[in-house]
Order: sequence, then structure tokens, then C-alpha cells
Amino acid sequence: MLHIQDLHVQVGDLPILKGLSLDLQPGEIHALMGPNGSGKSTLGKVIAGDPAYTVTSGDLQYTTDLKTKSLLPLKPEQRAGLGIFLSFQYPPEIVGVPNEEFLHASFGAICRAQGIEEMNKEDFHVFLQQKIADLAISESFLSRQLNVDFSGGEKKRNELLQLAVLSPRLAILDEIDSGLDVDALRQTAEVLKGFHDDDKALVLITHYQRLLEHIRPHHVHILRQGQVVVSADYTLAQDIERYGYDEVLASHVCGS
Amino acid sequence: MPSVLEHFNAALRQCDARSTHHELAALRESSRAHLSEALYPNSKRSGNWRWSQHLLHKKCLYNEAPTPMQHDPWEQWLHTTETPTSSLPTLRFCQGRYINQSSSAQAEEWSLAPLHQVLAEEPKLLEDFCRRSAAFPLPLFHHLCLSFLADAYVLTIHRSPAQPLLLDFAYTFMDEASTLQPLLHIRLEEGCQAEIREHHRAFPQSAGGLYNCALHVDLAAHSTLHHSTFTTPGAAEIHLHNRRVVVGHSSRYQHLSAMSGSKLSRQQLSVLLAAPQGEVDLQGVSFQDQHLDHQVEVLHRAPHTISRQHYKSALSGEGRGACRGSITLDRCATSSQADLLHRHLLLSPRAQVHAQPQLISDTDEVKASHGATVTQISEEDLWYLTCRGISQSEAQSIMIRGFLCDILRRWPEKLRDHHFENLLFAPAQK
Repeated sequence: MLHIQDLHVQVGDLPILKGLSLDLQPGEIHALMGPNGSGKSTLGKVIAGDPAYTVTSGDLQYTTDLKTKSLLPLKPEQRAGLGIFLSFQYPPEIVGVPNEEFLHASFGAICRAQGIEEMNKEDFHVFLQQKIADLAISESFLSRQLNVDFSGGEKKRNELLQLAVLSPRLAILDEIDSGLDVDALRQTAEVLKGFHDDDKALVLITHYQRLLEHIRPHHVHILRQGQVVVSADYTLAQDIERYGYDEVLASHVCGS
Repeated sequence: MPSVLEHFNAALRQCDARSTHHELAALRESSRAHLSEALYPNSKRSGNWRWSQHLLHKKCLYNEAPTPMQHDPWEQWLHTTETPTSSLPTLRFCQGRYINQSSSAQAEEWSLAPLHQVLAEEPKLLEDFCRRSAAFPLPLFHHLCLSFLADAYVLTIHRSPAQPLLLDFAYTFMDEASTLQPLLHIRLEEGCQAEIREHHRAFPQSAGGLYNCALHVDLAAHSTLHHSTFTTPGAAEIHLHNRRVVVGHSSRYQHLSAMSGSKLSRQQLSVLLAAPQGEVDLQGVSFQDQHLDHQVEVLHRAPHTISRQHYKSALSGEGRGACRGSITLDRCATSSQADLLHRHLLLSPRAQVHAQPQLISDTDEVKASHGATVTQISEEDLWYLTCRGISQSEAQSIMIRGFLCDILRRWPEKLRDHHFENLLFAPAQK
């Protein structure tokens, strides 16, 4: 689905990703872990097309409907139209924009990009009602302004609502577990399990193993200094939780 | 040389109910000639973008041949589907003339008459104009309005029905106008309540021109006027709106305005709180990609008076804004309250705004605030919306709407102009 090849990325003159390579296949769940500043969030933003970052070399090859193309020349909205979704670590508060209006605009744009029939406001409202019921979200979410005065947990749930509404093919969730209590975390994992199927890939960027206990990734990667330094199965996340990055990385270096 | 007022006093004396259209047109012509000589702004001002480009006015006012008044174009206008439709009593003004469309135009609750007829019965009315003018020194524009005293009308609201009286005003021009709308003086008698919705529309085939509106409002004690103004001009037009309001004892004036872009939009609103316990609430939104010149001034001249100003404007492309809001609290305006907030959103690196909030208080026994903000669209917000599949232009449009619509949302639904909302919903192209 997504082939990341020797990716070098910088902000201004500061290099952040330094030759990162990774393969994601449909149906896979990947967890990206690593110390602060290792480039996890940057990778998510670069895949989604954040204009603040410059790709200096390497490529992002994305395959959908049996066609492979580079994402690099595409604008963020074009990438979203191809089914790429990034949940934000810190979703911005946008004053004056009602949540439902935003969701309808976003859903309509994705439908147009994918050649699917759009819904009118009334039908979309019914569709949304079902989604918020599935997520056990209060209906007041819809009439509130986009993320304005939302608590940290509410912002994360709003990101999940967007995920459920837009149903992307590749979802990158940047610390979706931060700010959630134990029950909300379990519920988030259930939503993600319900979302995930054989055609969709999920990338979980996280610092903690607790989300991964509920939704087990097929692959766990440790990023350090802008590169993937270790890739393994779920047990790697358990080791990180138990021993910390330094020890785990040291043991893998020795092992290799 | 006689003063402008003396000139028009003299001119008005020549007018009576028997004056023909041609005689009034001739009077208007002489008024223009007088203005051209005596009042045209000097070259220093024309070079300063913070003020309206009066040279543009000059071209329309003085260099173009005046359009003779004819009935045929009115017929065309009356049958167009583009004019506002309403079940309310509608006063239509076209090409500088009030159009009395039907016998129902006069009702028990209100009356409309040419100023020169009213002056015959109430000669002091003109002195009131002069006295009021002295409170707000706005020489050029005011004289421009005075120049049309000859064609002015007086709308008097005598009494209120059970519900506030509702009136629609429809202003339109058909072509490259070389005439101006006349002054309309609105009087609410004691205890009356009314709602006036003012629509300014360009004719679909309008290639540009000068639009104006000159309104004087006089609220007697315990009266209330809800006044809304919707202006949806074409890009090549010049709009000059001048409104002066005097609020009487325990009276309330509310003005809501919505305006989209034109070559030049000059909005002047002056409110005088002349008696105790008067209250004024002014709100407005505008979207401009050329030149916005917005001046609002509120003068508190009595104790226990309240004023609120809340305006928002979004400027795109090479839009320029000169926005001045002022509050003046006289020594006698004790225990008064005044708030002013003007917010501006710049949508392009080339857009500029000159914001000037002003507060002058001659007494300490007041509660007052004033402020203005100038912001740009947040790159982070834009990135968030585009990341959800929304194109950059649509995202910008959503954010502009979000910025402006917190004012519009507070308005009663019946007042939201669909034409204006549609304009805001359309993706911003610049």
C-alpha cells in the first residue's frame, strides 16, 4: 500500500528524517515507537503532506486501486482524497466553524475525490447520528465549534469520529491514546478494531504499550534520529515497556 | 460664495409640490456644479489610501452626462426577478427616485412625503438638519447628501400596530449611474416600534456605477428601530452609505449590516445618544477585496446611555481597509456604558487594513472599552482542513465564514440574507 523509500526530510535547514524506509501492506497494523524527537510525528505529517516539511530525497509510493503513484507532488487534500488520514496529536481549535458543517464539507470532498455520490445535509445528519451512537459521543459534539473548548480527551474522540466518518484506507493516528482514561482507551481500541479490515492499514504512533494491549500490531518499529532502527513483532513493544529504549536498542545492536 | 446650506435653503424655497421632474433634475444639476467648485477634496487627500479615493466619485459625479429621468427604465426594473421579493410593504428607490408602486404604499401607521412638502408644514425641520450636522463634522460626504435635499423624502411612523411595523427598502441602479439616491429622513414618533430592512442590489447587467444611500433617523422617546442593511454589489461599483441617527429618551436603535466587495465601499454611521437611557447596538460584517472605508462614531451626550459596536471584516486579494470606530462620552454622559470592538482578517499578504479604534471621555463616571484586532488565517488551521480533503480555497472560505458568521449567527434567522450567505459559502478565489 505504502512504500517509503530512503526518505530524507528537513524543516528549514534542520534534517529530521535521515533515510527512513518502511513498507505498509493492506490489512496490517503498524506501531511506531521511539524516544521524543525521533521523527515519528514528522513521518505522519510528511505522509499526509504537511507543507512545513521539505522532502530532500527519497520517495513515498502509494498504491490504490492497483495503481502506484508518488505522493510527493500531491497536495494534502489530494492525499486525503486517496484515502490517507492523519489524526492530529494536537488538533487545532477553529473558531466559528461548526463541527457538523466541517464534517460534511470533508466527507463531501472525499466523496468527490473518490467518485462516490455525496450526501445532502439531511442524509448526512442521519449518517452522523449513527456514527456518534457507535462511538458513544454526545450529540452536542456536532453543534459545537470545531475543537473549540474541547478537553484533550474530547479532541481525540473528535478525531476518531472523523476517522469513522471518512473511512480512510490508510489511517495514521498520532498519539491517539494520550489524554484518554482507561475506559476511553479501551473504547478507542474497539473503534479502531471495528474500523480496521483487510483492505485498510493502520499506523499507531505511540509512547505506551497500553493501547497496543487492546489492538495488537503486526509490526512494531523503533525510530531513532530519523531512521527505523529496529522492527519486530508485538513483543518489541512489551520489551520497550519493560526495559526502556536504551536497553532494548542496545540488546538489538548486540544481537545483530 | 454662499455656504452649501444657504445654497440649498435657497434652492429648496424654489421647490414646491408643483415642481416637475425636470425642474428637480435642474436643481440637482446646479447642486452638483456647486459641489464641484466648492467642496471637492484637495490633491493631498487623494494620494492617501486611508481615505476614500474621491477622484473616483468625481468621475461619476461630474464628468459623466446625467441620465435623464425616464419612466421606461423603471418598467424594466419593476419586472425583473432579481429585485428582492417580500410580502412586506416595500419602498423602492431607483435612479434617485422613490417609486410609488401601488396605492398601498401609504398606510395608516406611516406616511411618506417629499421633504419640500413637509417643510411647508414644518419649516423647523431644516434647522434640525443643520443642528444635527454640526455634531458630526464630516464635510464632504455630508454636503454630498445635502445636495439631494431637493429630492429628499420624509418617512414618518406615526404609531405602531400590535407588532413592530415592518418595512423593506429596496435601492437599485440600472446602469452607470450618474444620479444619486435622495436623502431619506425617517422619524419614529413617541413609543413607536419599527423594523426596516434595507437592500442594495446591483442590476444584473450593471457595469459599475455610483450607489449611495443617505438616511437620517430620528427616534422620539420610547421608540425602537431595528435596522438591517444588506449590500451585495458588483465588483465595479462604488458604494457610499451615510447614516445619521439621533436616539431619544429611552429609545433603542439597532443596526445590523452585511456587505460584500465592490470597487469602493464607504460606510459612515454616526449615532448621537441625545437623551438619557438611549441605547444603540451596532453590528456588521463585510467581505472586501478592493477598498473598504468604514467609519462609525457614537456620541454620548446624555447620562445612562449605552452603546455597543462589534464589526468584523475580511479582506482578500489586494483589499484595503480604513476602519475607524470612535466613541465620545461628553461630560454629561455620566453612568454610561460604551464598548467597541472591530476585528479584521487579512486573507492575503497584499491585503492591508488601517484600524483606528478611538475613545474620548470627558467624564470618569463611565464604563467604556475599545479595541481592534488584525489577524491572518492560521496556517495550522488551513493545514488541518486540507488534511481532511478540503481544498485550500474551500478551507479558506470555511474559515472566513467562521470568522464572520459568529456575528451573523446572533442575528434573527429572518434577517440573514441568503444571497450574502451564499456568497460566503462560495470558495474564496483570491
